[in-house]
Amino acid sequence: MNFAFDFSGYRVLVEGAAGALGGIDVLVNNASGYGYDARDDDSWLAEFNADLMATVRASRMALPYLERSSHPSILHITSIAALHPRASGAAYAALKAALTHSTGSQALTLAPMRIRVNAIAPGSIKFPGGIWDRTRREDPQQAHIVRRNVLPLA
Amino acid sequence: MKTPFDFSGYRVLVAGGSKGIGRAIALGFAQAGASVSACARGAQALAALDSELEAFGGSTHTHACDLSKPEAIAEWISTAAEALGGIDVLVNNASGYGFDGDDDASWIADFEVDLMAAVRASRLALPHLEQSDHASIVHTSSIAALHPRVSGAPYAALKAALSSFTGSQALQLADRRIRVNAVAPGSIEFPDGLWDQVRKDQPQRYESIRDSIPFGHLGAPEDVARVVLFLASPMAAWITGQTLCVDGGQSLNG
Repeated sequence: MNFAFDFSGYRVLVEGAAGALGGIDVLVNNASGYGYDARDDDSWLAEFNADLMATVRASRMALPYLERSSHPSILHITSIAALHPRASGAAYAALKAALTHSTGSQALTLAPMRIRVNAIAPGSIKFPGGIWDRTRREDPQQAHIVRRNVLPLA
Repeated sequence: MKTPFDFSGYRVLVAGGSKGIGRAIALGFAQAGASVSACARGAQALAALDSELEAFGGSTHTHACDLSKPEAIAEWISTAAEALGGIDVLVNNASGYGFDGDDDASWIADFEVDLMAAVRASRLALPHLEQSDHASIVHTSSIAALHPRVSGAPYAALKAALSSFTGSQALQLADRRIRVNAVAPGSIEFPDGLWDQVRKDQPQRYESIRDSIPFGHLGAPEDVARVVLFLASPMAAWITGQTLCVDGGQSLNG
């Protein structure tokens, strides 16, 4: 498996952003590798790198700036998939479970610096061009099942 | 280690089987009549295990293997299946022991060994498990998966991922009646193990852990091995997708 991942992009991003904005108060980690196919390694690796390690690395690089803020916080985007095991999308769910767990550990680690760490866990979210928008168009029956059986507020 | 189980005719693979908990699991199955294959990185410990396994009279197989390498896992699974004539039980017990969240090495070691070695070994063992009448997979997670923590965050997060996967995999394989469960050991002590070292080097830390365990002392590898045998046995035929704590009540204290 290739872990020779190029981190220089992260550093350029975080330090470039901090320079342009004059510091960092809030870091939001929202990216996902969308690895739904647990049958091969690619999904697992994409999830590990984008959903978990990107948050670890970006946080590490942003930390010196957050420490200088008087109201710093970190917000990760996890998923309700982290809550329950599932047959489909197991890699996505397992690495979001790791992220939810890591959110608590990071909060404990950074508490002495008064840096708050939280995550939000969205359910199925629809927006133009998104996964659920595509499902609505390409597989209306599946979209109907999710609406009717899974979403109490639909 | 005496157990009430009879694994005669079972072919059992233990990943991470040369020392501590894995060694106790391998010996427990062999003593209960199973054919056993164990793999681990250390050839010396593996050779010692090999002669201990043979003493129980069943067929045995050991293989030196770096479980962070996909091709090494593939070689072990195929040689083990050939040596034992199939696979009934797969135990994924290895860990990367990545406790330092400050650098990437710990995260990657735990991803590769605690999570992906289990994913990969399961995938490769599946065609064999599908042919067994009493197939099951047991992963070794940890009570660290239950609560966030300052120290050892990568280990804990990837064990949480493994516990999640245990349930997902149980759902995936339920239609083939392959059961999937995990044990979550608390702090387990054995000669030259992690906690044996802590007892010698950091007696205060050792005592504070010991005092956090309601039963008043650390667990032994055999305490965990007995539960792994139970989960793989017909006694647990209606249990799948579960992570069972084996910790003398340690996790009850948060």
